[in-house]
Amino acid sequence: MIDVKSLSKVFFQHGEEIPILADLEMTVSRGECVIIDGPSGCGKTTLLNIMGCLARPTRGEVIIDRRRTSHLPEHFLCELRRSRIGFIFQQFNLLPGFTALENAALPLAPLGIGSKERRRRAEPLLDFLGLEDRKDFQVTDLSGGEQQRVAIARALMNNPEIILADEPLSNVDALTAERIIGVFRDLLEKGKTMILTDHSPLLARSLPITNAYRLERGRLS
Amino acid sequence: MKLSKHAAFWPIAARNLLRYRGRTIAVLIPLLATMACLSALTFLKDGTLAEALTALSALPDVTVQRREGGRDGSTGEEILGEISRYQNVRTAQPRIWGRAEVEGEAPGEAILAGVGADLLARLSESGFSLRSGRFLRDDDRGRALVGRLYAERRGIAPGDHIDLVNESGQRVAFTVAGVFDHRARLYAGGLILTDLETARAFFNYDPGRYTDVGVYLDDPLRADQAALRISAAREGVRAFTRADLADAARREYGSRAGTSQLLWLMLLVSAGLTAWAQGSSVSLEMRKEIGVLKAIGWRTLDVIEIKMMETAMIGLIGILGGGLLAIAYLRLGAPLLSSYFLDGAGAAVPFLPIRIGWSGVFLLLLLGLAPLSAATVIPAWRTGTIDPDRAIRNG
Repeated sequence: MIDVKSLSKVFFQHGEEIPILADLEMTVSRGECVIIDGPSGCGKTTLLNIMGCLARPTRGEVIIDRRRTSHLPEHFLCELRRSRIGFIFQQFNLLPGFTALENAALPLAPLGIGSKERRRRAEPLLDFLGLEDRKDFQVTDLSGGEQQRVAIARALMNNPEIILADEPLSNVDALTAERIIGVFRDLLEKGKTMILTDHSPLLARSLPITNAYRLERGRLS
Repeated sequence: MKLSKHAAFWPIAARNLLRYRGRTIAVLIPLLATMACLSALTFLKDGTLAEALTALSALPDVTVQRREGGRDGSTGEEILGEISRYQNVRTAQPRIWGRAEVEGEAPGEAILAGVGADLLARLSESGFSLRSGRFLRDDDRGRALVGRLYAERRGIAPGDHIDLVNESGQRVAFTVAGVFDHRARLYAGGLILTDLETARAFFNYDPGRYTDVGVYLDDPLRADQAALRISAAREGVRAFTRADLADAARREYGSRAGTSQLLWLMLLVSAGLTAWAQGSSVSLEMRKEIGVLKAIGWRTLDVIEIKMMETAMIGLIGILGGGLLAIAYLRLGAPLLSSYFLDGAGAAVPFLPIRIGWSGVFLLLLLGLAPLSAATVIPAWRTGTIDPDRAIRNG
């Protein structure tokens, strides 16, 4: 389903090349749950962002369902992100000033779905994530764990086949972590493909991981 | 493109304006102020021009004046007689007119115009209609016809007396013979008609001298040729067609409005720059949000559309609010602006000519929305074209 081939990423800062990822190879099949761990700053987020079509590699390519995403124009990538990929950010990246429900339903707006229907579709998902009494709260009034669950609801809103989660447990308490793990387990049972980054052993222990990679000094092992 | 998609964006765009209240207000306040001034100026310019053009329609086909020593001088019998003999000239009518101080409960100025018996007999052909009393007769002396608005404002009726003061400070009493109306409010509000001899005495004109001569042609379409011939016949004589005077009015009010509009436009551009600053370098948060929206599947065009909707809402609020403020300001008499804009005519214009026309509204929409759109859409487009990853990381 996802093939990473000879993928490298170099950042440029003050005219200097900073290699982040070097010649990575990875294959993720449908329904698999893959975990990538490694120390902070090793490039886990960058790798996940490239796989999620949020960034382009410097060299190499990512192939999703036989489509070379690295070479696709931006509007195709948008379409891919909208229809196939759900992205859970480490820092939640919710939009302040919108309620939990409005944030969760944001991916539906470009599909031409009106606010009533967006609400109708977002409510069960937020209920499922235990946010039934927080739906109309401003996201800035929610705890970190609640915000993470809103971010998960947003990622799942378009029922994507691939879920990419960047350290989903790093900013939540133990109780919320358990709840999130429960949700992920559910998603895997439904046949979703998951790629997670994490540097705590909790996720690896709690989920049926099919492949675990370690990213260090820009290389996977 | 589905219409439902655009409809789905509107509430989000509206919420964005509320979410970023500070930015919205920072852009809206200068926009409101600028649009109010631009609207007041545009409505007043359009109104004045429309009024001037309506008033011009009552003028003769060609107006003949004489320059003496570089200034407007008086014309005389010799010119009158010569013009009357030209081909295509139906009649040439002398006029004596000028400003007159009005005394009484509502002091001010009016234009007192003395016209000959021929013209007095044909006032209705020039759009004058009688509201009460009677038109002037050949032998009337010291009698006047006053405009409807003028009469209403001062409570004047036929048979009443009005006192006018000439340039020498002499007070002259007139008996109101009748009240006329005209679709040009300039006449209905500030024109007093009398006979030629009474006007001559009021303005101290020598016998056989006039302010100007109104020439009526058999074929008004050949007014240009007639004006050229009259101008060329004698040194110092100038002849204007109605079209010449209309052009002059357009130039005069166009340039007065243009100068002010330019000043306000500079303010508008500064409002746009504020929006630009808020939308680009200052609001890193906004750029990050664009990255997030793209990450969850929004296209660059979706983001730009939302920004355009926000701009349209702010712009329309600014334009409509500015327009309403302008109307309120004009209703209060447009302090400062009226004296600048109607300078030279203001004293004789007892009302503010205001016109809200399509062309003016279109111009205001264009002036209001174009800089604002550029200032908000371009930063959104620039952010929208970079990778979501970079937009999110760097804001």
